[in-house]
Amino acid sequence: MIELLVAISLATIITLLGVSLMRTGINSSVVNEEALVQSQAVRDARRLLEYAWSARQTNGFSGDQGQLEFISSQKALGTLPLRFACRPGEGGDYALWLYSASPTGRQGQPEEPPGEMLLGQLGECRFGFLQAPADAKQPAQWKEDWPAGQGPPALIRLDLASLRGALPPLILAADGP
Amino acid sequence: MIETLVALTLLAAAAGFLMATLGASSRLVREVRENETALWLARSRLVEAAAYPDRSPPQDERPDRYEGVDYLTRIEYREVSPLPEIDLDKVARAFRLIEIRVLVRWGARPSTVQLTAYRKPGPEASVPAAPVK
Repeated sequence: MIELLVAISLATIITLLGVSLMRTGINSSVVNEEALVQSQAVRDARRLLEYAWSARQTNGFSGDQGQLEFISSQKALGTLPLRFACRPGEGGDYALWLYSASPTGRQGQPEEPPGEMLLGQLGECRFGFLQAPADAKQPAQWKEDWPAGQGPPALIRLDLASLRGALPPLILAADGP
Repeated sequence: MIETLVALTLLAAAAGFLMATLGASSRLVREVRENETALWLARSRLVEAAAYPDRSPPQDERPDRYEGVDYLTRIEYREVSPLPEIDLDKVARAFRLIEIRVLVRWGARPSTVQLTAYRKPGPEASVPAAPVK
């Protein structure tokens, strides 16, 4: 009788331990899966921005901390003004959106075109623009705004952070992809 | 009784094997993510350095922290000839190139990523932009 009770107790402990380990393992697997999916999304968004930027036109460039607009001649994207925009989400996070045109609304007011969300659940999403100094001995300055009509800046950077922490910036050069 | 214990032991062994597999998978995912982060970091630094080369870069390593992992970046500049057999002191400036090498190091073991690019030397040295905080 006692042996049976001991055996049942041992069996229960081992089973509970096994279930606990399995749950930890499955949770870890789910977290890994989510991390991989987000890594892939970040990689795709960066590649899309590089791809569009590699065929940009010299006119039609403007940007600020929350968005970057330029005209790309990539056939796959159409020769339209492209706008990569950081938008706040509902849960205090950010998302990176791509808008492919700036149509005019019925009353002549600018209307938000339909966009595609490239990345969601970002802790940070911000653009920066490097202004080349007139004197090469002066340090170049990163600026938060780049008004239209100035031509493209020397460098563009996109700072992103996932909910796990900051990611390396994507830096694009004016004279190369 | 003995059959039950044997069955439970087998179950525990199977669970242990599964855990080991999941652990290895986690480690692999982490390594892939760290490698990718290092590669993106090196690419960004290389683009930045190629646009604004500094003739006398600081030799210390620049620390960055991404997703809880510390990365050290080192940028090296070196004047090279496109043809190794040509003596650099005897050729005109037009035949020289600046080699920019970016090394990113991370982890306790440590792992490294290295990217190299070449650019024409500019007439004067430019000052690299101050890093964004």
